[in-house]
Amino acid sequence: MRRVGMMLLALALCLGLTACGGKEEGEVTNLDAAAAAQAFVDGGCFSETLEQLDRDTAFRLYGLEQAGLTEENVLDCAVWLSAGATAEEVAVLVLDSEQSAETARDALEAHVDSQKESYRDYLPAEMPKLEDAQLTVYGNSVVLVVPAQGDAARNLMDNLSDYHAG
Amino acid sequence: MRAPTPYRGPAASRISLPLVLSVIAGVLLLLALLVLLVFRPWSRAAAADSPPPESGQPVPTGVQPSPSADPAPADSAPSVAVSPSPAPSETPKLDPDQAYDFTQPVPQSEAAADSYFDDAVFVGDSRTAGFMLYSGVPAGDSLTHTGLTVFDIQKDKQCIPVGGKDYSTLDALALKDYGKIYLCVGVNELGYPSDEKFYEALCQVVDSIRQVQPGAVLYLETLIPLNEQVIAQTGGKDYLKNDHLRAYNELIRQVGAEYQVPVLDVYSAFADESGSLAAEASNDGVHLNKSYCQQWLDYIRTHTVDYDTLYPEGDNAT
Repeated sequence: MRRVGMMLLALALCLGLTACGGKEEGEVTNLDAAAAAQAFVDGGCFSETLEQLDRDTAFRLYGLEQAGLTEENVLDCAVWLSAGATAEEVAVLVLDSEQSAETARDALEAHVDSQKESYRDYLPAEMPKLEDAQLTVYGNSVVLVVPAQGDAARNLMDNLSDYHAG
Repeated sequence: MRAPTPYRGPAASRISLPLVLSVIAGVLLLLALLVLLVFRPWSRAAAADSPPPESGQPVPTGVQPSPSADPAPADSAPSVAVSPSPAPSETPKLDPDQAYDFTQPVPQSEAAADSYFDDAVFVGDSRTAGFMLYSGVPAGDSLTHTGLTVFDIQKDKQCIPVGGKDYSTLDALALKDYGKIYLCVGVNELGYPSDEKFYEALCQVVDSIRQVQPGAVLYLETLIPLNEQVIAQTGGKDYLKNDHLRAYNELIRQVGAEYQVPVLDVYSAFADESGSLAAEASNDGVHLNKSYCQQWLDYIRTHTVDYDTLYPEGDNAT
């Protein structure tokens, strides 16, 4: 009887430790898109005041539908762009899966390539910024920065964990 | 003994014919008065008698493009604060009995509803690209390219992305039917040496677009002014000058008159007393920021004209 009780107590302790454990396998911590993008905007990365873009327009701008995504795949979105004076921008997209994030990453990479083609002859002075564009997948989130100050942007990219959602 | 009175029913003995007729006449008179008060036909007659606008004959051809050195005072009117009418509607109609005057800019009209833009397309350079991003235009396609010029359109440069593929502007326009096309080019061409080449290219482009989209209203937009001081401060190109821009606007108006396409005088909506764009309107003196893009949309929304008014004969080809 005593042995049974001890076994039950040990089982209860094990269950309790499991409940107090860290992330479950497969759990992803997403970024807070607005906070992460704002950090880049406020972090000395850009040479001019950027304009915030709404979600629907950003979806069209980055060709996400052509890439195979739907608006339901995009859980959160924060995009800041130049009104046309420069090629500077920051985009933080939170997707619903790792696969969606990879698809969005490819779309944003294609967007940067398209910008390079446009600015090569139009505003050659912007080419160094596009060549220094930083694009990364963080969990199910994708972050793109075309900065005027590359080091400031890289520092923020290395500390994206500061901008987790929730 | 008196003869009995013939029986004429229970009411006949109490109601007389004159009384009935009087009641009927009174009811009809009241109804007539009610109709007059509701519909007021005398006010509609007064509107129909208002003096007609001036003749709509286009300017004769043969006027050569003027060189850019001479400042043109025609565009120095103060900027006009544009605010949309509170009652949006479909494209209003001008007086159908008068030919449209293509020598004049599109007049102000009631604000068009959001659905007006469902079959619209905007063709232009990075300024128009910014308009599509920030104006809040509720619908419409974007056929824009950073650095686009009228010469790119003329020479079928494949630079307009549609569905992940690059098309020439005319090929992109041919992909679907549009009800209205907004064309705004010219700023990138300010550095070109020949105004005449710009004029000739614009003529050809207008003609080509109308061949591709014969059922659409093609609006030519005059160029929004620049802020030369901000351009200089931000290291912008030194050929970006308002004097030359105004000369281009005269050419755009000339093309509109000669080819009978409506011209939107967007310039006048943004030019201050000196003919410049406000400094706060743009970070670089060229590209409008979000709030000014929204004003641009307000102007477009409140300056519309329908195809039937422009081309009552149904054929807009010259």
